[in-house]
Amino acid sequence: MTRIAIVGNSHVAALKMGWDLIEKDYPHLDIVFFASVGKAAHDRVLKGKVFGFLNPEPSKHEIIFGNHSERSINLAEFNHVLRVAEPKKESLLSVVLENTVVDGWPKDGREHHMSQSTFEALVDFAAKKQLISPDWCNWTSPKVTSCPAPYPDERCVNHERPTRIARWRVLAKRPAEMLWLREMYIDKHRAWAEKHNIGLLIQPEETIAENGLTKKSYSEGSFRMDANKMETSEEHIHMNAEFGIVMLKKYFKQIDCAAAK
Amino acid sequence: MSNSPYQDLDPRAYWRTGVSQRSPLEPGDLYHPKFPMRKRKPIVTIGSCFAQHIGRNLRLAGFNVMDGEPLHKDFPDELAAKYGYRLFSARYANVYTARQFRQLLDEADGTHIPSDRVWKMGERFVDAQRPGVEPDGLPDEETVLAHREAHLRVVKDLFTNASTVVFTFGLTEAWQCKESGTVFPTAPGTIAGTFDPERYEFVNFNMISVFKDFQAIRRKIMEWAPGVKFLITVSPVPLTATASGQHVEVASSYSKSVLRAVCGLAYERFNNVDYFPSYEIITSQNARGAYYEPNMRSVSAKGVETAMNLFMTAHGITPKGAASKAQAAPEREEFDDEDLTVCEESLLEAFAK
Repeated sequence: MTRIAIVGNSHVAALKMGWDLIEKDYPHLDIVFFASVGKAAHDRVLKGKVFGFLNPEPSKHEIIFGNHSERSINLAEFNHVLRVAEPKKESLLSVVLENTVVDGWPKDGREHHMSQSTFEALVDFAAKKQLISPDWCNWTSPKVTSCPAPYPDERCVNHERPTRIARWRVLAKRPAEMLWLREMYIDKHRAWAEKHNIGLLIQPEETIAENGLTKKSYSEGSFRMDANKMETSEEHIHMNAEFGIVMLKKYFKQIDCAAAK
Repeated sequence: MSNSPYQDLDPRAYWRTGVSQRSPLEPGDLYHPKFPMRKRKPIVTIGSCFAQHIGRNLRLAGFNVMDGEPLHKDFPDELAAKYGYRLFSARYANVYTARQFRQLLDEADGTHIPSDRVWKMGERFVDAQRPGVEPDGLPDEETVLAHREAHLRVVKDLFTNASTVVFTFGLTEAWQCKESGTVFPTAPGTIAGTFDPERYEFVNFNMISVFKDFQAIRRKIMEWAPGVKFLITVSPVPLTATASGQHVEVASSYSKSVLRAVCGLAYERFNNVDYFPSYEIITSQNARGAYYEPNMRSVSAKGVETAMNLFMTAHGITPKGAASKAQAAPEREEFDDEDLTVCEESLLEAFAK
């Protein structure tokens, strides 16, 4: 039996729903999900290999999903840990590309120029910033894998809300540039992660729409973890069970835990 | 019997009361602004390494220091500085001499094109007038020239919209192309390019020529921005190295004396030119060298803070930002602050061994 802990924020929901649909194909896997949302998610800490709400008295905004409602989880008891979902720092580059043309791209009226090497340095900075806290780095057991947040639903470009994904709308205006940037970003992110013995679970190509964001079919009917309940909400940020299945299958393959049949 | 004209002067006029009896590190009453600096009016900064400190501190204090080639605030200062961002109002890098400043304005105006515009750096290419802003170089000459054209448009636009130009005079020594007279911010071969003694020569500008350059600078900017004012300073940072044949201390003294004399003359002659004595504040005997780092060349964070506090106070602004930040910061921060200052001249240090 291989034991996997999937810990994180509201994006854990898609994976949990996906797991519920494919669990029977993986009798050799024991997965424990442990998620929290909003402010509470930031209150969880890591001490040694114990992760969770480690303060003796629960705070009023503490929310726990999964983990048998336990406030913490001892990760030393697992073979693998998947951290879901680190905010993507790739979108930091939107503020550059909004008014700057990088050498090699068509001059389209944007005000400023930037060399490829300068831009690459900015991408490297963003990728390094994406790296999870040092406390999670260089573990030999369990093996830690980081799963960045999914790209927003491709339809978000037609809406003004939510404003927190405004930067993705900027990038999606020029998909070719975004995909070029993404390739560079992932290479650098992977290099930083490997250096710190962190695995990286990248969103598969099959889920990516033409504008570089997530295909709507992976977002439609998504659920979002919210205070003490699961709520349907098409807010372009969270993904559905189908997405969860794709991600989990890729993850299992990465850690040599593919389906038994 | 008539009284001596030195009787009954203000205490600041006497060395004893103005300096000897002043508490150590008390900056004194060294600066009375000729005209006020308004926070909302657009300021353009340019000059040597020390101008970076002035620009950064003015910005922290809430002055409208323009940035024609900005990098978003999400990227840290250290990274920005490596590629020439946020050091001055544009990515022109250090402009050490008045001749280089004049040349830049003429180039932006289209009246003069410098020679030797692109230098090789290994297999890459750099802008000879600002070789440090692209530390990895660019792939070909065309790209360098395209970046330069875009930069020049920004330069002209900046100065056209400036209300005040803050210029720090840094050096009198430079290297120039014998044939064209084009000067460079670094000696060919220091960061990029190749030193060819047949093509390039050392020049040490004298007071007359620096003053003429400043007159031309002032005239050009006033053509573009008729109401513009100038705040000029002299960098208190001594030369890293001299090619004059003199001892570096003697050469530094000469260089700073020339620049200080030019500032004095410009201050006397032009109503729209004010002089801020950061040079005197930092080098003052009263400071007993405390405003320098252990290398006795780089200005310490304390020195910058003292000079800028005096500046703010003289303009009726309660010092904050840089000053309060410096007070709260641990000592290590002072070195960090210094590290942010980009100085190609210090590369000469590497060649001193």
